[in-house]
This record gives sequence, structure tokens and C-alpha cells, in this order.
Amino acid sequence: MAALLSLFMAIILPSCEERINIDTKASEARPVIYGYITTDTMRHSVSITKSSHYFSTAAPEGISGAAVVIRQGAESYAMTESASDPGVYQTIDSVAGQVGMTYTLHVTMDFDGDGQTEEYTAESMLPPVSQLDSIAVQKSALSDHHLEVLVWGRLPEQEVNHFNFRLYRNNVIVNDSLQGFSVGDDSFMQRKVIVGVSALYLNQQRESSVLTPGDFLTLQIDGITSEYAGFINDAQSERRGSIPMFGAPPANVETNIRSLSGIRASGFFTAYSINRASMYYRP
Amino acid sequence: MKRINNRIYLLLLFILSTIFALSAQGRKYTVSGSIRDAASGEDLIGAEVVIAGTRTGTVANNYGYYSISLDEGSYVLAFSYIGYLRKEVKVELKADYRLNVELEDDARELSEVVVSAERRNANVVTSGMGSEKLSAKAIKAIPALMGEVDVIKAVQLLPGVQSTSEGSSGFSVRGGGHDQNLILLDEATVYNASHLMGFFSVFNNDAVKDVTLYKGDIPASFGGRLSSLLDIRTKDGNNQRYAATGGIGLISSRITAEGPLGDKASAIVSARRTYADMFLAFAQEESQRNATLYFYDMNAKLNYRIDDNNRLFLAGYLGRDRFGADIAGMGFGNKTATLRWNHIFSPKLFSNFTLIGSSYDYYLRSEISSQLSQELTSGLEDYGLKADFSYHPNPVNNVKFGYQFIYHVFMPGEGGGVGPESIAGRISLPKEFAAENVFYVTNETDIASKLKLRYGLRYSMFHNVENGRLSNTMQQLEPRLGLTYVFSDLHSVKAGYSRTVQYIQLASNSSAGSPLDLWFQASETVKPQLCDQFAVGYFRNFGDDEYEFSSEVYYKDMKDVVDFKDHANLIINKDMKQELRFGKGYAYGLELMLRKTNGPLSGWISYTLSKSRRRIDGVNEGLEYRSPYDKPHNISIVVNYELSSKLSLSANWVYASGTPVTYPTGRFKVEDSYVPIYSARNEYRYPDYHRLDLSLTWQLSKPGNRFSHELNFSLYNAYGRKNAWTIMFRQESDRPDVSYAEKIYLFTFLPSITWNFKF
Repeated sequence: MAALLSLFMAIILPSCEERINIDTKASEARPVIYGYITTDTMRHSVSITKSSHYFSTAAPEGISGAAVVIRQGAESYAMTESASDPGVYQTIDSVAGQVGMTYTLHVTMDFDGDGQTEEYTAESMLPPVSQLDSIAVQKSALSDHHLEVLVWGRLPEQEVNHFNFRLYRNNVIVNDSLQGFSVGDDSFMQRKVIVGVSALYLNQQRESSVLTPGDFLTLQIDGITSEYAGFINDAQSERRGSIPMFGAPPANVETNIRSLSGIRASGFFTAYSINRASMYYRP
Repeated sequence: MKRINNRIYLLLLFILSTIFALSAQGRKYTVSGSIRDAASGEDLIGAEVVIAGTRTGTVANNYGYYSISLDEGSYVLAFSYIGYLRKEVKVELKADYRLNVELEDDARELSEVVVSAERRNANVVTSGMGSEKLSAKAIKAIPALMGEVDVIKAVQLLPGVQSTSEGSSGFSVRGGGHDQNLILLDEATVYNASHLMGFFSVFNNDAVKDVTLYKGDIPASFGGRLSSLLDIRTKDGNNQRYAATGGIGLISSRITAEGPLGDKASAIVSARRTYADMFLAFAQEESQRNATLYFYDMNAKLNYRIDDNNRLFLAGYLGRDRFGADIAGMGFGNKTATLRWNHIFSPKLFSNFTLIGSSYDYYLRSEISSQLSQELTSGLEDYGLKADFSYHPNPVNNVKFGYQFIYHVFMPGEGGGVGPESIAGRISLPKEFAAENVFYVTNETDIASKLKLRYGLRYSMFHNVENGRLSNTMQQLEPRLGLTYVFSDLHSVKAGYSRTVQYIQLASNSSAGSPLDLWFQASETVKPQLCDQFAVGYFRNFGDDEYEFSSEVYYKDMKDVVDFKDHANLIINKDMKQELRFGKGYAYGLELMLRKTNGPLSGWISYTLSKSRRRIDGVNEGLEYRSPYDKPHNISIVVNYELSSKLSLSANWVYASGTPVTYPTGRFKVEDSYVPIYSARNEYRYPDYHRLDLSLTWQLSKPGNRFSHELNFSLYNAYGRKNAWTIMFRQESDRPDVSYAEKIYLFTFLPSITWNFKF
């Protein structure tokens, strides 16, 4: 559908664009809590920022002084605020999530400055790990200037898996923004074995995704929850915008951050599994 | 079951009381027959018959048939139809009398752009309100996008009608949804009336004879949609001589051939095809050069006059859009077929029996790679029959009654992986079935010399069908009431009430409509939509009926209207009904129209002031919000000026308040991207919309030539207004913390040229 829509816009609607000014009132500022825990052993982080007017030109303001804890059963990982990055709260270096466990995020802070702290919580189960055997790169049928990364492996034996692919080139992530995420699921797939399926596409006319011979490529598959997949899909959709005939009305992206005080929050907390496969790019 | 029986008894009581009232009339004789165009033999729908010197008369029905019953005596009957020479016939009435009349085209009188009432002051003296009639000739004179004359684009210029978006064939009537319009082509439902993603409608104007839009006072013989009926009738085919009409335009060509088949039959075939894909050969991208982009459609009709009392019509439509490239594509189209039998039981009793078939389907495919190759099909089919009767017991009563049955087959979706290498499995959502039974009766009567009453009752039953059995039945009585007080031939006041029910709904998450929209049925969990509409109007003519003024005020109360949850998934979703949200809505407005009906300068000015709101649980936190079609101010000016016998200039200017829209009012950042936080639903509006279109028609042939041809030059959006089609929100690439709004606009200064011919 996305390919068809792109084609439609390119062929039927060679429309024109013009930047315009829109006068809107600002929505009330809300806390934005975003973070995750993965199966990698590492320092995990959660960011807490304040939402802003849509046409603000400043980077989001981090919220300091929050108490942030991730809990799983009897275990808890207290997070401390980064000294260099206000509003970013981190675990110690050696934390790793476990498949099948449910993780709960607890945040306590005084967001509205009334002297009373509010509590925010979210939880996520950590889905199983997918098996990645190998990857390859080939020209894509999408256009003359697209490459596609193919993947071989096996998805976990559960009814529906949701996943996200990230590509690293020479250990630097290529699809590092929300729009670049490649989220999918296997609800319509007839088997769990993946044999040379396109994981993501690389536009060779875009500098940030150009591959050169000898590049070391690593494809990461994240086993994510259906709720997080929905969050990514909806956020991508709202970022992309819509056209009258195919566009649904704009709508806020649903969050799993629950506020116990009535203050609306945005963002997401999730847990996901990780696996990787690598190759050297030789066209 | 008891409730159903009660409603049947009520309907029977209504019918019997009507018949009893009518039977209390003395012995009368009946003059009846057909009113046709002398040159082509086409039936003149809505032509008027009056007893000269009185207001007593009737109008020809959709098959050109009229019937008027009078006491024995001598009468002069005057036959008239706008654009035709009036004809008077003296009748000595001693027995029932058959009188077929042919009217001559009056080229002097005929103006180009006329939203016609059947007779010069029909807008004043007839009992209906909230309806507008357009002739094919009127539609042709209106400047068109890319020169493609378009029925629906013309309809969008009428008061109370709004385009759903720039260039779209979707329309909203009196604040209703684009899915609430019943569009009939020769009585068959057209489920998706758009070509080329909505930029053109499926109706080839060369094949169209008559277009009537009912905005509220929908006749009891029709129903099934909440807001309007667009009744399109195609030509029967010239039964006097062979003729051809055609045109060659920038993006399409069309041809129509018609003529007699022996003494009793005539036929018409009309076809057109776009060749927009030819221009893709010049595209820069190779993938676009190989793309497919075209539509075609064909109308055909055969009519056969068995004898004076029996006539058969066989009509069909086939249209298809194809769009795509190597990696993806889609196709969609409608098919309709109707077989009608007109039978005159007696001069007073006219009947029409119709068999109807209609279908719509779409196809999607994706072939990015052999593993990801997928397809999807979806659609629906209707099979139906109708029996309609008109009974004309006397000049002051016109009774219509009938029965309709429709069997719906819904195909929500089937598809999946294509080929052995595809990783996707197949999925098939089960077909759904439904049946509709409808009985109706209506009467138009003059209850006093100046007071006309129209009353009717429609009894609709909708049945879900599972395993060949009726599993759930919904039913509703739909009363229609209209009152007209004629002060004089020059002005009148009218009032009306109607209840409409919609049993099938459109799963469309867009406000403009798309080819992928899916129809689904009311059921135990999805209530039918219901609307009560009240309207009052004042109608006044000036200057020997050359100027017509109308004003109507309406109020609509809608129940169980459908919307969808945020981020609803409506394609191949087996739990689609989980995505639905239900609530209520209302709309009200004032419609003003002043039109000039003949002379070198003709046209109309209309203004609509309106409001349309929805309140739906699960949408906008349950708070009331503007419907997507809420545009408080709407102006249309349509003008045609005959500069000389060879040149005519047409212009239309439209203005509408901006479409309601939900804007982002906040943002938050995750994964290096800003995600919008939105205002309340439809809290803001796009900038106001306005546009001027011009066209110049140059007759190249001399008047009276058998072969006539003309050039039509048109300019869409003549002053290049950059109307917002949509507004996108983006981040600057070099300053990623800076968000901005970008207006997308489609057409500025779009010229076109079309050569039309006729012989």
C-alpha cells in the first residue's frame, strides 16, 4: 500500500508545495517518558522531557529530579540521571532483560511544580528472540536507486511476532530515526522460516544510507510487543501526514504511560529482544 | 415479529385509506400517452401537461408517460417542457383517449446553463422541494477540469452540496457524509462513482439524459441512504435517425452512436477512454515510464416498444480504472445492468418492473519481490427487482406505490501471497449476505385550490442472511410529508419532513472517499443510521419566470451515525466492526438561489449557510465536533453568456469556508523524531477555498449542418489560487528542531482544449 501511495503521489499528483504559517494555540505541556530495556547487557536509559508547542524551535527540555526505577518481579534497577544529559536516566552498565519477563517502569516527579509528586507507570513483556542466520544486499525493484537488505533466519514459534529492523553500517546506525524504522509482523506469513526476505530498503540517493564496497553491515532484529509496534506505526503515520482520499483523520499516538495523578503523559516504555547478523558489503 | 406485523398493518391501513379517498370520485375519462422529443424520440422526463387556462395538470414520469383523468367535455391540453416549443392540443373527451405528443426543440429559447425545473414556474407550483434537475446540455456548458464534462462536478455547484476535497467526485449534501448519497444509474446503484481516484466521475455526459438530485425530500420509492438521491437516467437512443456524438480531449476521447433498430427499437452505445498514461513516457523515472494509468467506461442501452402498452429497456454500464507499475498496482470498477418493462395496465395505471444488477470491486497487488508478492480483492454485488406503479385517478391525485427487493453480497476481502515463493499465506474473510424488502405508497394531491399535499410511507426491512436464512431483521417506517401553499403562479411556500434510513455503511476512514472503501451491513451490533429532516422554503419567480428565487431552511437530526476509532484498520480486518464508533449528529442550514433561466445570459448564484456537527463515543473524547463537511459559507456562481451564434462564454466561481481539520498543537520527541500532539477533532480549518473556471465554446459549423463541431477551451482555476488540498507538517533537514507546515495544492491555471462533434 505504501508503495502504491508513493507511486500515486508521483504520477497522478505532481502537486506543488508551499510553506505556510498556521496559527494554533499551544496544547498543555505534558511529560514525555520514553525508554526501553533489551536483552543486550548494557546501560539502559529512559528519557523524560516536556512536550512543547508544535512550532517551537527549541529542543525538548529535559526534566530533572525524577525518581526512575525499572522493576521485574523482586528485582529493581534504579536509574540515575545523566550528569551531561538532563532528563536522561540510566541504569548501571550490566543490566539485561530476559525473554518472557514483564518489566515495569515507575517514575515519580513533580511535573506541574505544585510541590506534590506524581506517579507514572508503564509495563512491557519482553518478547522472544528471533534467529538471524545471514543477510545479503541486492538491487531493489522499488526503483533504480534503491538497494534492499535480505535476511535469512527464523521467527519464534508463537502465533504472531512483531519485529523491527535496524541496520548498522560500520557500527553506526543507518535508520536511526523513527521514520527509518522497519516494523512488521508475521500475521499473514505462512511459515516462521525467513528465506531471503527484504528487511529494509536503502535509498542510494540519500547520503546517509549510501553503501560503499567494504562497508561492514550489521542487521539487528528487535522482537517487539504488538503495543510498541502500534506505537511506531501510528507515530510514523502521523509524522508522514495524509492525503484526503487515503488519509485517516489525524489522531494522537496512544501511549502506555499511565499517569496516576490525572496529568496526561506521552511516550512509551517497552522491552524487546535483540539478535544480529553481519556481512561485508560487496556489490 | 409482532412489531413487524404492526407496521405492515399500519402500511396497509395507509394504502386502504388512500384508495378509499380516491375511489370516492365520479366517472372520469383519461387522456394518457407519451411526451417525446420530436427530433430524437427521447422521452421528456418531467414534461408538463396542463388544462389550458388552469393550474390543473400533471407531469410526465421517468418514462415520458403522462395520464390525466377528467370529466367528459372539451379541453385544450397544453404540453410544455423547458427548451421546447409549447404545444396545445384540443381534445373532445367522451372516452379514454391515447395522445402521444412530440415537442420541437426551441433553439431560441434554450439557454445553456439552466438548472431546470420542468416548467417555467415548476419551482413555484410543484409540491416537491429540495431537489434540483440538471440536463446534459446544462452540464456540458459548465467549465470542466481538463475539459472532462462531469455530472458530479456540476452537482457540486448546487446549493447545499459540497465537494469533499479539491477535484474529488465525492460530495456532501446538507452536512451528510459522502457515503450517505444514493447514486443511481438507470435505477442501479453505483457504489463508487469515481474514476482516477475521484478526479472524474464515472458518468459519461454524452450518454446522460437527465440528472436529478434530491437533497432531502427523497421520494418514498427510493431510500437506503441518509442524505440524498442522485438519480441519473441515460438516453434511450435516437429512434428517428442514426447519429453520433464524440469528442477528443487532452486526456480522453469519447464516442456515442445511436439510432433506430427497425420501427420499434432504438439503441445507444457510448464509450470513452483516457490516455493519460501516454504522457508517462516522458517521465524521468523509468518505473514511471512503464506505469499504467487509464480508465475506460461504456454505457449501452436498448429500448424496444412492443406495443402502445408495453416497452422494454435494457441498459448496462461497465467501467474500470487501472493504475500501477511493476512493483504495485490497483484496479477498480463498477458494473450495472437493468432490464425494465413498462406496462400500462390501463390509462390510469402505469407500471414499471425492473431487474437490477450492480457490482463494485477493487484489486490491489504488490510485487516488490517474489517473496513479498501479494494481492487483495474486495467488493460487493447487488441483485434486485422493483415493481413501481403510478395510479392517476383524477387530475388532483397522483398515487405511486410499489415494492423493492435487493439481495446484497458483501465480499470484505480475499488475498494474500501470490506464487510459491511468497511468504504470505492466503486469507479470505467470509462473504456476508443481506436482503432488503421495501413497500411504499405515496400520493400527491391538491387539497384546496392553492394547497398541495404530498404524503407517503416507506416501509423498509433489512435482513442479515446467514446460511441462506434470515438471521436478524431490522425494519423502519419512513414517512414523507410535503405541503405547498401556492400564493400565485409567482410565489409559494413549502414545507417538508422526511425520515431516511441507511442499512449499509461505508468503511471509509477518509473524508473524500477512496476506491478502497468497503461497504458493510447493519447487524445486531451495527445499528442502521437514521435521519429526520425538516425543511421550509419560499419560492418566488420574477420577470415572466425568467428569474427564479428559492430559499430553503433545513434541520437534520441523525442517529447512529458511524465514525471510526483512531488509527482504525479497515482493510482486510476480520474484526473490522471493532473499529467502529457510533453516535449522533445534526446539521442545519439556509440555502439561497437566484437563477436566470433563459436569454443570452443565464446561470445562477447560490449561497449556503450551514452547520454540521457530530458527537460520537470514542471519538474526540466523546465531545461534539465539526463534521468533516462543516463549511459554514458556500457560494457558487455559474454563468453562461452567448456572445454570438458561434461563441459562448461560461464561467463558474466557487467559494467555501475552509474544510475542518485537526492541527498539531504540541509535539514530543522520540527516536530523533518529533511526533505531533493534536488539537480537538476538526478544531481548525484550512484556508478558505475559492476558484474561478472559464470556458469558451466556438461553434465551427454553420447552424443547420448535419455535421456540427465545436472547440471548447477551458481554464480551470483561472486566477491560480493555491487552494490547500492537504497540509503536511515537516521538520527542517538542517535544523531538525524546527517544524513547519507545508500546503499541498494541486491545480493552478490548468488549460485544456476539447474538440466535440455531432452528426
